[in-house]
Amino acid sequence: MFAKWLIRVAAFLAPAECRDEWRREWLGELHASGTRQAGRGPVRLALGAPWHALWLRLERWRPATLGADLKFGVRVLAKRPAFAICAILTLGLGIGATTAVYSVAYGVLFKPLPYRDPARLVQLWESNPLFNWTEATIAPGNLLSWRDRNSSFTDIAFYIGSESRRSDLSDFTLTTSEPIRVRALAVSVNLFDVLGVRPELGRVFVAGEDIPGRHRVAVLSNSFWRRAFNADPTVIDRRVPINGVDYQIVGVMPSTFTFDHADTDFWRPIATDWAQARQTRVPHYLRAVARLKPGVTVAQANADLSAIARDLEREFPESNKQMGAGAGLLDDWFVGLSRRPLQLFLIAVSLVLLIACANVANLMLAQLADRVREVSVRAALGAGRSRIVRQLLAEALVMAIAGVALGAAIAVAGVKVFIALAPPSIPRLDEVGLHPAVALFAAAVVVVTTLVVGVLPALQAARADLRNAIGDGTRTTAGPSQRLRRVLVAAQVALAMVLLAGAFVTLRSFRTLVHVNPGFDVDGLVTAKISLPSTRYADQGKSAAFFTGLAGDLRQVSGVAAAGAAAVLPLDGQSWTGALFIERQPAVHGRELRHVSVTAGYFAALGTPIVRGRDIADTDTAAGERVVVINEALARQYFEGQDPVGQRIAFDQPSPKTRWRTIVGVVADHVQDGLGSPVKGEIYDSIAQDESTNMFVAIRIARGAGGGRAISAADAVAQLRRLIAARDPQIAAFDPAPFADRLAASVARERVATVLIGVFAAVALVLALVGLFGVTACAVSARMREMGVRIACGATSSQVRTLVVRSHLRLVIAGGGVGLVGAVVGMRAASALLYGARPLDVASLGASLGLLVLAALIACLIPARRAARVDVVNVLRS
Amino acid sequence: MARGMGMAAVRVLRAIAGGAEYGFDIIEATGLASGTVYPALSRHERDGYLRSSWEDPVKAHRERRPPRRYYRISPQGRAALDAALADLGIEPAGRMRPAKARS
Repeated sequence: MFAKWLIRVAAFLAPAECRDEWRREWLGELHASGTRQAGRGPVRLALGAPWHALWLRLERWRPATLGADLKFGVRVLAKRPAFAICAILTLGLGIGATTAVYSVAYGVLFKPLPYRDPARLVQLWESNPLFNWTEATIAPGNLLSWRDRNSSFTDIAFYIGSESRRSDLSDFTLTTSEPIRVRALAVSVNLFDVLGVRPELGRVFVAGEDIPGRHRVAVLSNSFWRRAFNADPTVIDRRVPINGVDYQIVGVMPSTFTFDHADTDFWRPIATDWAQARQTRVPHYLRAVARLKPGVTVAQANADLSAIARDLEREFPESNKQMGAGAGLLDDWFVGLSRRPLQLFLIAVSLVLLIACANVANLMLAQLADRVREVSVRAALGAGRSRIVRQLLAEALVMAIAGVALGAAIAVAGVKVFIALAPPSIPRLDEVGLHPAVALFAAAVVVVTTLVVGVLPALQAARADLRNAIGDGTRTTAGPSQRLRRVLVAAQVALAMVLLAGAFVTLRSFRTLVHVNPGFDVDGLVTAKISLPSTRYADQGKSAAFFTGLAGDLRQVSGVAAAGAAAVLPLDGQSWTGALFIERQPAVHGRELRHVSVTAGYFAALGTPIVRGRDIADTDTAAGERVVVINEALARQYFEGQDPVGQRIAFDQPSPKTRWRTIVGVVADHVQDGLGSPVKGEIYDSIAQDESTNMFVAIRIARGAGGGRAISAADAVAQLRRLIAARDPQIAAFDPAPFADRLAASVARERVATVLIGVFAAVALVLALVGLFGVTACAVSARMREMGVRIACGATSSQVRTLVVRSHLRLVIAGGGVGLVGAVVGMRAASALLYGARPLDVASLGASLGLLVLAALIACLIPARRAARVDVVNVLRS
Repeated sequence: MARGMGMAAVRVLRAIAGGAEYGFDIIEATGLASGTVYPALSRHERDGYLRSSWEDPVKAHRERRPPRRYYRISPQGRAALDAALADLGIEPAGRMRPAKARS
């Protein structure tokens, strides 16, 4: 029974022309097996039937016939160049954009980190609700306690971190022939072992190289080794002068190795007095990576760390009040904030691909309606239905192959453009490239696309009433095909609506962001970073004298209105934070402030006004009274209703030894971490009282007589270099640039997102309109005679136009309505990622719907005008 | 082996040369699975190695069973089989009987 049923079902797989014969043969065989083998014999025999039927089906499409079909497909497409170009361009755009974005997403999101068993690597952090810390840097004492007491990790490594998630690279000057800037990350000696990576040359750090005196060793990155040492294999054990001190090169890492920052030139060990470090529970400046022991989960590690953190809180209530500890997968940590935006891009680009598929299917259906007669004639001459379907599939395949070729070219170019445009804050960008897995994905996309564009029209063709078509071909429009095309167009409009709304919301958010007032005049401000070697400038007052003197020299330069220096520049992303205690007020834990060393003239150079009291002056020396200037945000937060000037503050719990600092002035707020980020309380102290060897110089160029600038930014930089060389020829100015460039770079991520989503939306809109135009034009061609009759009966041109436009605008309204719902849902998801975006942005929705309807109106009007101008006599006669 | 003929295809052809006449007969003679034998038959027929014909329906009706499709080896098939067997180092045998008696 089952065997018979299986054969009957499998018969549908067999080609139609031999199906009956096939069924007869198998039923005969089944009878023979039944008479000779009772029990499971017939079933075992029947199991071969589907394979045989499938073999016969596939056998019809041997290489010889496939080649002929493909040749025929090329010929058919060559006869319809406009259709072929439209379809191939659509496919190429869809496949290319998808592959490019998926390649980027794979490199950034899905590709495993280039370390041994990366799924067992976790990032560790501190948290503290008192300071709103969630994934904060760690104090050395706490980290070493975790290392000693945990039972979850095989080992914990650490490195110098910043307040952002990124590691904190230090700038050095390598002095061989002339000073060049090199960037290094200070790491614990076991970092490479914890990551499970081996050097290409030499060795990594060994125990003991974290003790001061033995720590002048460096492991070079592969790119730095190639750039600075021409990939010289004898570089190992060579000594190179970095910041005036000889470092011994001990190893070179392979080119596949990067850790957080791709532009790290070398790694050096963190060396300190470890006994002292064990007692240091403030400040917090380390980031840590740990390897989970086999069988330990991230949740177990978190529970372990939390228990240790609670013990530490009991033991050190002063420093560790409410201090928590946590761990998360290293992969999540690095990708972190980029994950959501990239996922949204994947959705956006998938929508583009869907629209592209719908469009090609639509184009196929449109030309199929024209070809019904041709198909019918071929059927009448004896071509089987399967033969016709096969030829249509071959046409689709030819288009798909051409589309893939174009798509591959677009994908390669797209990835290159993305890497060039992408802001450096996107992690692992150096690992992005077209990848085999992505190529497989593209292949899958192509298969689906080919099926969608080939099988759907083919099914339509197979269903069409061919005999009717022969008799009355000119008037046949293949009804189901028209309906399907209308549905496809409505779907395209819906998807385009979602993307358009997304583009409008992103654009509005970007406009709001770039119009945020940074708090000073960006125009005419030039900045550069200077890093003094701590070996030569470690003595008290040396670095302060250098920067104060340099600022003074700069102010003497003709064309410079003001100049100063600060340890942290707006938008730099780095800052030192500390606790705030106010004299004669109860000591409250959890008041956090940021502090920045500045020279006199820094605020004047920025152009940020002092709103109360006075500026930091050159007279605020190390020997004088300790003074600070605070920003308005801090004044509002802690001195509401009182004059902060004259009050005293401290960074430590008040005690008889406390070094109080007197507030001498209040400066206007200006941008800190980024445009749109809330301004936090900040204090500025004199460099003479809080020395720093790494400072940014800010130069304000004076206005010239004609309203322009007195000197160019390049002149200002040249003057800066001259003055630095006069003071110390071994010092270089890094990253000299107009501040406007820094500002533009700070919103590069948002700019790229806006441009990309805009491009997606534009492509989607164009594709949807092409679809709409095609459907309208086709419907008008099919209804020419009807239009002629209407005009002959007295209908005016405008009535005919309205009729055509109205019937097709209904599609737009239906699609737009569905799209509106999708757009509202998408908006809610995207609003959390966009600056100043609301969960329901009615203006953006209205604008996108308006644009869609307007564009659709134009797409419908062109065929509608043709309908209205129909030559009544000719049409009725034909 | 002639024209890249697989081992299973050779066995099917050899079974027919040996006297097996229809699908189930060949399955019994070769011990191959039905999903292998029938595609091999179709392929040999396509390549001209076999010819097939339907059994007289009257005879089938008399025996109260559906008619069978019989396969015979063509001269071309015989040559291909000999070549394939020579490739395998097997003496081109005369007739090979099916393993079991036919019904």
